[in-house]
Formats: sequence, C-alpha cells, structure tokens
Amino acid sequence: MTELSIAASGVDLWCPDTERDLVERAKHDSGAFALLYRQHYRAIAGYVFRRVGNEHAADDLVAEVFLTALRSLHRFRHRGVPIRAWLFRIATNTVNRWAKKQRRRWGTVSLDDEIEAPVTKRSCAEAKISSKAKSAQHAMLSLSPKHQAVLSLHYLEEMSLEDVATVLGCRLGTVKSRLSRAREALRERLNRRRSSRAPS
Amino acid sequence: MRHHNEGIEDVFDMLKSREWTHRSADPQLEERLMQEFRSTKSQGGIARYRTLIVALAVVLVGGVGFAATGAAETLRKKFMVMIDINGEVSEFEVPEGEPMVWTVDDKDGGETTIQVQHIDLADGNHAWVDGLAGDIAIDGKATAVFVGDEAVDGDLSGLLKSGDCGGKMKLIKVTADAEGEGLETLKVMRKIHLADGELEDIDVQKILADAGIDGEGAHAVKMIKIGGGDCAMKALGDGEKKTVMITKDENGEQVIRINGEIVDDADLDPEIAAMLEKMEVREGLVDDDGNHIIRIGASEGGERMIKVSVGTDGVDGDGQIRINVDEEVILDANTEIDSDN
Repeated sequence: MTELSIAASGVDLWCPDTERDLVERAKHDSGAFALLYRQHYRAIAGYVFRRVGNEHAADDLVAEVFLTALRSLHRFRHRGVPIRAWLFRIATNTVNRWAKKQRRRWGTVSLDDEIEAPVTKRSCAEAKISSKAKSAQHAMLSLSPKHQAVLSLHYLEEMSLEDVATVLGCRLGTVKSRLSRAREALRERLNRRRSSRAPS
Repeated sequence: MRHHNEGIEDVFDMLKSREWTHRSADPQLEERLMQEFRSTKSQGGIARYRTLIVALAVVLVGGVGFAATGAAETLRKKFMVMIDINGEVSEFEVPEGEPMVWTVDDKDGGETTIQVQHIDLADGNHAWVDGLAGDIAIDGKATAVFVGDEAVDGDLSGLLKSGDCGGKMKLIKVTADAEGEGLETLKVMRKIHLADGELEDIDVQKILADAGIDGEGAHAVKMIKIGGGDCAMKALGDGEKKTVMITKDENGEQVIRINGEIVDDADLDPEIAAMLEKMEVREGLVDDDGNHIIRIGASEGGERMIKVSVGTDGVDGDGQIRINVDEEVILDANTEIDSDN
C-alpha cells in the first residue's frame, strides 16, 4: 500500500481506515464532504496558487477542483491511494488546462501582468524579491503544463517521486524521465532569459 | 556565481516560498459545494442507470434534428459527442460550457462515470472525456482514461473517439508507450454524413475477402454504423439476402429488425446470430482524404481497421457504391495511423 506523505499538506499521518470511512460517508453526507473539503482545501489551494501565481485565478481553479471532486466522488475507490492524491490529480489536470489556455493568451498579453507579487507592502528589498519571484514564475509558466506539474509536485510540494507517480497516475520511471526533461527545459529557459538580458 | 544564484534551485526556493496565506478555507466555496451536493444527490439516481441515460441521449440526439429545422442558433451552441466503450457507441448532445456526466455499466459489473464538456481550443471546439471520475474498461482492462488534450499514463489500450458539431471526429488510441504518455490522436476524421440506406449495397463480402478476413463463404455479415445512427447489416444466409438493422424502438430500447420486421433475440436465425457474434463492421468514418475507415470487431481477432477509398467514380450506374480495400490495419499497441500530433 502506498502512503502519500505530502510535506506541504499539513497532514502528518495518513490513516487509511479513518479516511476510507470519511470518504464513504462524504459520498452521501454533505457534512462529511464539507469536512473533507476543509481538510484538504489549504493543501490544494497552496498547490494551485504556486502553480498559477495569481490569487484570483487560483480561487476560481480551486473551486473548479472541488466541484469536480464533488461530482466524481462516488466513483472514487479505495485502492491504497489517499483521497488527497486524487484531489491533487484533479487539481493538476485543472491547472494544466488553464495553463494551456494561458500559454495561448500570452502570445499577446504580458505574462508579468498576470502574476501577483507574493508581498503587498514593499520595501526596496521586497520589490527586488518580488521581481525575482515574477521572473521565477514566468520561467515555470513558460514550460509545458506537464513539465510544470511534475516540477511543482516534486520541488514545490515536496512530494516523493513515488507520490508524484501516484498523483499523476503514471509509472515511477515516467516521472523520473519527465522530471529530468522538465529540469532541462527550465534550465534552458533560464539561460535564454539571461542571454537576452546580458549586455551585447 | 550569478548563474548559480539564478539557477533552477533558486527558482524552486522562490516559488516554494509563495504560501497560500490568506485563509484556511473559503466559506463561500463551501456553501456553493453544499448547494451542488444537494443538487447532485437529487440527480444521482438517474445517472446510475445507463438505460435511462441512453434514452435521454436518444431524446437529445433527436432534439438536434428538431433544432436544425428552425433553431440554427441553438444548434450552434450544442455539440455532439460520440463515445465508444467496448464497441458500445453512444452519441450525446452536450450544451456548450456545461459538463455532462453519465454512468455506464462495465463488463465486470462495475460502473464507469464519464464526464464530457465542451472546451474552446485554438483549433476549434472539441469535446473531452474526463476519466477523473473513475475507471473505464477498455478491451477488458480497467483503466483511468482522459480523452482530449490531457494525456495520462498507465497500462492502457483501446480506442475512444470524440466528436464535435463541426463534423470532426478524433480517433484516439489509448496506449502505454515508451514515454508513458498513454494517449495519442491517431487521426482526425470527418464523420460520414449519408442518407439512410445509402451504403446498403456495399459489397461487404468483397471488402472482407479482399481484406483477408474470413467471412465464412456465403455467410458474410456486415454492420455499418453511420454517424451514430442505426446499425445496418446485410446477411446472406441460405442463399437469401436479408437486411438486418439494430435500431431503437419508440421506447429507446435496442431492437433487431430483419427486413424491416422486429424480431426477438430468441427468434433470431441461429446462423445470423452466430455471424453477428463473429464479425461485424461497427463503424464507418472518413478521413480528410476521402478514405473510409471501417472498424471491424472480430471475436477472435480483436480490433481491425480497414482503410478503403470511395469517391464519385465509385458509384456505378445502378447507384451502388464500390469500395476498394486499400489496406488493412491491425490495431495493436504498436500501431499508429497518421498521428497528427
């Protein structure tokens, strides 16, 4: 049985029996579903926010994630996969679809306008950090959604490779190779940006 | 040093520091979920019964014809989706922007929930099937499947199709390739739009024989499905030519008609019944080059695709359409047909 240990999730111990009971109740009991929602909202919202870099967009996407989960929960079956992994999978696909649309839009819109700074009260130092954060987000969002997802799950959400495979529903080897290609793609983007900024 | 500081690890550190700090849960979203929960539960019983859903689909599909007669604007805001699971094809009309969810019974006794929603893509409007909700049994394998632009990984094999109101249809093959991508679009095809009976005189025996498929001599059976319409077969048994239709009655129930008369399954000619089980041409599609793709399911041979060509010069003086078999493609995990992406 795979145990999903998500450091950023805020849940230290996954108790399969308790979770199974809660999920089964949540299929018929709105109160149980509300409890599931509250348990996992922060982890999912954090993941979505770090993926999209925009609070308003994250709000909409998180709503879409939980609505999808609600409509689909009756199909969830316990096969050793925590409900949180399932929610992360929904979130990943939801954000991937959003990212594809954004990549088309960004052909005409400045990406920097879409990304919020992580701080609102800015000193000079903070503004510098904000600029770097935008640049970092920009580099990530320029990658393919699949590459964004695997990098985010592993490096930002600090999931193990096995957990990433569980979330993405693919083999461990696939995760490793995709992660390697994603890192390379990100490195290439960063180098390209440095080259474009370098004085001629 | 500068490069080191701006490396990918710094990017990760920078992005990881962006915490979702403004609230631990959204009360408004929770209330919306509770409303949706009550709404979903009130409709849940319906979705569990495939028969009812199919009946609904029949009503919806029928509505297209109604809409086409006097409400073109309405028609443009809907699109058609055809889903093929284990050879069972259902066609649905999906309103723009609204997801449609239904449940089908798997062969193993389980259920499959499929969600279809219209989305806007740069290359036009496409349907997508969201397998997030559960497992789809394809060729006997239970697997999670996403159809559309969301490829997933896994040990998958089988075929799914999606279509839209523009007449395009994607033939999508679900596989587990070396990259684990799990999904590829084999071909974008136009659906055949032909009047009922237009293909009745196709010499399917010749097609099957030319394709190297054993039609058991005179006992050849054809079943051609056109654009989600009725399945029409032509059986040659005991020297008598019979036209067999699998269609739906006024209650939406599947019935078999032989030479126009409804027959009970139990009364079906054993030879015809045996041929039905053995071989069928399930569906006809045509690609952008005018080539027809006819899908054949043979009980012992798995899935086969026959690529044939037909054109205006294929219609003879008697109004019959001649179809020449160009090639036969056996679909297996390694087969690709003109991948377009």
